[in-house]
Amino acid sequence: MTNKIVFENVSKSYGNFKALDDINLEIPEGMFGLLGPNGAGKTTFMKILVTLLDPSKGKVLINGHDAANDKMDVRNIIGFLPQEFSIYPQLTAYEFLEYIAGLNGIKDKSKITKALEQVNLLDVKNKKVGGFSGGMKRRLGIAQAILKEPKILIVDEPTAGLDPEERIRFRTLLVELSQKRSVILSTHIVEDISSTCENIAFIVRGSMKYIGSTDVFINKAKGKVREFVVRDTRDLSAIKLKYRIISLRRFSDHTLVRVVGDYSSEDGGKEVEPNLEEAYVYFMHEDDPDV
Amino acid sequence: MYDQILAVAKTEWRCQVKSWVFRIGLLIIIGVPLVVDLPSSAADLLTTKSAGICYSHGIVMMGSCFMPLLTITIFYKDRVTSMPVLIFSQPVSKTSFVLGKFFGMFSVYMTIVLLGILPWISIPLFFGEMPYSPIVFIYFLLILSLPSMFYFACLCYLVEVGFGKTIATISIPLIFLIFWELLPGFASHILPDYILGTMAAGSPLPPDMLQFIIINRLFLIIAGIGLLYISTRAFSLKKFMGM
Repeated sequence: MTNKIVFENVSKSYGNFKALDDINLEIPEGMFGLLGPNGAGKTTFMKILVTLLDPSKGKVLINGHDAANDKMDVRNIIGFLPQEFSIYPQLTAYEFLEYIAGLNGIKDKSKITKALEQVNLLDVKNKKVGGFSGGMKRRLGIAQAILKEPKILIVDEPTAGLDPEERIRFRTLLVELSQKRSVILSTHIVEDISSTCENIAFIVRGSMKYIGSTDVFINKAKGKVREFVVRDTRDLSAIKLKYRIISLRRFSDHTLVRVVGDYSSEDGGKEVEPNLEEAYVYFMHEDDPDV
Repeated sequence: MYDQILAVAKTEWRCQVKSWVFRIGLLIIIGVPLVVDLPSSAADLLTTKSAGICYSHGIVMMGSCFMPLLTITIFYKDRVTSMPVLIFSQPVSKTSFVLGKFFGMFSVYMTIVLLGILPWISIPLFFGEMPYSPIVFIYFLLILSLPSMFYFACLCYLVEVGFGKTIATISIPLIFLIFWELLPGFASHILPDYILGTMAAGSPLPPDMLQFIIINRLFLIIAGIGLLYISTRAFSLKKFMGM
C-alpha cells in the first residue's frame, strides 16, 4: 500500500498569531522536503502531522486516518525525530530503545539491536546517553524513530548543529531509509533538501508558497541569479542596494559577487544557473518590496 | 496498555535507582530507623514480631517524609528534557503514562523498603543471636506498610499531577502528615500506638481492633485507587508538554 498524506485547509492559530494558514497539500511517496526559514511554521506543521498538536481548522489524513481523531492509528504508522529532543541521561542507548520498544508493544529485542546497527551505535549500546555527542544523540533519535519500522518517517531539522561529516552521514542514512518508506524532512538548511529530496514544499510565514518538484522550483528562479565582477568597493555598495547577495568570493584583484533579484539589463553582470539555495532566497523575498 | 505501563514504570525505576534521590531514600528510610532503634546489647534485642512491626512502622513514618521528595523528581526529568515529545509521538495513552510513572515511583520506594529488610534482620547477628525471620518482616510490610504507603504515595502523586509545583508537592502531604491524628481513625495511614503495641505483644487482637485494621486498610487501598484515578483524569498533556 502506498502512503498518502493529505492536508485539507489546515490552519493553526495561537491566539491572534497564525502559525499555519489554510494549508492544502498532498505529500507524495519518497523523500519529501519541507523548506522554510526559522519561524515559518515547519515545526507546527510537523507536530500536527505526528498528532502532538491538533489543527485549529481543517484536517490531516494519513493513510486515511484523521490525525486529530485517530491519534493512536497515526502514531502506529509514523516514526518521528523532533527538532529538539533530549533523552533521560541516566539511560543507556539500549535501555532507551527498550523503553520505546515497550511503548510500541515490540517484544522482539533483536529489533533494538538491528536499529542500533543501522545507525552505527551498536558498539556504544551500553553507554549512558548523557555522554553522547550531538551527532550520536541524533542517530539514536533516528534509531527510535525507525524501531517500529514505520511506514512514514518524519524528521524535523535533523542536521542542525551537526558537523559537516556527520551531516553527510545523516543525509545518506535518510536516503537509505527512504527506500522502504516515505520520509518527510523539514529543514531550513537548503543543502539537506537539495541533496536528498525530489519534491518539496516551501513554507513562509505559515503559508505554502510552492509545492512540487525541486527542479521546477529551481527553474522558476532562472534569470534571477547573476554574477558580477567587482573591483571597486563603491560598485559593491551599489549592488548591495539593489540585490540580495548570495555569495562573495575574494580574488587578488577583484571580488566575484553572486546575487539574486529582478534585474535590468543596464546593471551588467552575467546571468548564471540558479541552485536551490538561490531559488530559496529569491522566493522567500519575492513579495518583499525591498528586493 | 499493560505493556506500556510496564515500559514506563521500568524506565522510571531505572532512572530513579541511578539517581541521588535513591541514595537519599536509602539513608532516610533505612538509615534513620536503624540508628534510632539499634539495640545496645543482646538484652535489648526485640522479638521478631516487635522488630517487624518497628521496621514496618518506621518505613511508613520515614517513607512519608521521603515520598514527596521522590514524587517531585518523577516529572522533573521530563520537564528538563524533551522526552515527552518522543514519548507522545508513540502510540501511548496519557493514562498508561500516568499509571506507569506512578508504579515506577512506587517500585522505587518498595525497592528501598525490601533492601532495608536485610540490615534489620541481621541485627541479632551482631550479638551472636540468630537473625530475625524475613517472613515476619514481609508479613508486616504487607499488612502495615504497603496499604499506608500506597495511599500516601497516591496523595503525593495527585498533588504533583494536579499542581505541578514543587512547593505544593512538598507542603500539602507534609501538612497531611503533621495533622494525621486529626483525621478519623479509619482514614489515617498511620495505625495508632495502642494497636501496634497490642500486635507487638503477640497476644491475639480483640475483634474491634481487627475490624478497625481491616476497615482502615481497605479504606486506604480504595482511596488510593480513587486518588490514582483522579490523577489520570487531572493529568494535562498540554500543560505537561508546555504547549
